[in-house]
Amino acid sequence: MLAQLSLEWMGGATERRLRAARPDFDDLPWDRFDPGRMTDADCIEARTVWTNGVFTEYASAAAFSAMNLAFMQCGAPVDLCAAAADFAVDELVHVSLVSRLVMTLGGATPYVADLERVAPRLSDLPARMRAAELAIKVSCVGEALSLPALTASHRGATEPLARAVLDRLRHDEGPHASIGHWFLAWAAPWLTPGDREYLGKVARDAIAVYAPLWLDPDAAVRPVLDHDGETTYRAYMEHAVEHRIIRRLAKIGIDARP
Amino acid sequence: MIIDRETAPARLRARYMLFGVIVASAASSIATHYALCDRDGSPACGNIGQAGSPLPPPALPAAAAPPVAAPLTVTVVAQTAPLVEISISQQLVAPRVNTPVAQTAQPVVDPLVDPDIEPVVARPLTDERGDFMPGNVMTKGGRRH
Repeated sequence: MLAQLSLEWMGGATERRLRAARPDFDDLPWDRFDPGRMTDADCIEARTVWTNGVFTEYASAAAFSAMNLAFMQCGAPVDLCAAAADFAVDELVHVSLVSRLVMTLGGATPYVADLERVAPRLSDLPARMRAAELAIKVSCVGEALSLPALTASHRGATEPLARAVLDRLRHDEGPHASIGHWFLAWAAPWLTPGDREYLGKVARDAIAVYAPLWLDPDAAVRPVLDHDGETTYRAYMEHAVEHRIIRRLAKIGIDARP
Repeated sequence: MIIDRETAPARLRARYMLFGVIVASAASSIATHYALCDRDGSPACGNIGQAGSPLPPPALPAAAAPPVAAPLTVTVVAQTAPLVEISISQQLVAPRVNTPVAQTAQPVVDPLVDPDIEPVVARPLTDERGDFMPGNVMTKGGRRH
């Protein structure tokens, strides 16, 4: 059922367990946010973008939970399964941090979602291919794009609190973008040429969902900072797609070129 | 009465809203957004700074109607034959020769193919639907070990 996104915190024993697993996860400069330094329009834009950020982190937690289950259903190595489960907890920590940032900025903007559909829909393929499909869609594409996007945002951010949250998020995204490749390395002996062709299509379809974000006319002129200096958001993200997704997948025989 | 902190009822804890619209804010004048989704309606979970989609996700394809269950037929069977006593014998699975394999170059005995060994095959506990019951409730030996 579609409804305004809102989330609760239980506290007590469950919070203590989370803090034991992720010490000091919210030790960030919450009291250094100064709303007077932002215009109303900037503040609403920030709240809108970060409200969506809460949902994407929540959906990522669901996606890694689904990935963990798919890994277990195909007998993937135990430590690989544990990593997927652990990444789901990472994403829930991100949910809590981004939520707190949004509330500090003034609260969520209207955002309607159906949480019953938050997990990726799985195909009817055998377990191993379902796991490979999730590895590609969630990690090799989704997380591989999150990392450069968060890094660029971090370079451009001037607000200390937003910078601290972005820094914490991007710190985790590297391993999250790698777990798909870890799985595919384990799966390599049984992946047939037909399987690889299918996974290439999965990757292309996943990229195509995000592509309108950088093919938008505004993205062709919107400046972002990369490690060499200023470029456009479109050029930056197209570079990320080529180097972080297409070339990495090509090394294992998966063609994700459009 | 002692209440274990781990098992205390949730209502005793300080539950609160972590994230949501603040009623007093001007959020009502801001356009509603939805999750960016793929063709199946699954959310695209990469956090790449988007504001969300102005359009709701695609509707799910109509679910197929559940199969109509066949009417139950009640059959009464009168059991007139004497009960059969069943005895189960178990044999520990072990190599017949208690000599290190490396010294004798004897093949390892596989209880599933060796006709002289009756295999004791364990299977997971399942419920009536065939789902595994994951509770680890077997005895660990207790006082006997």
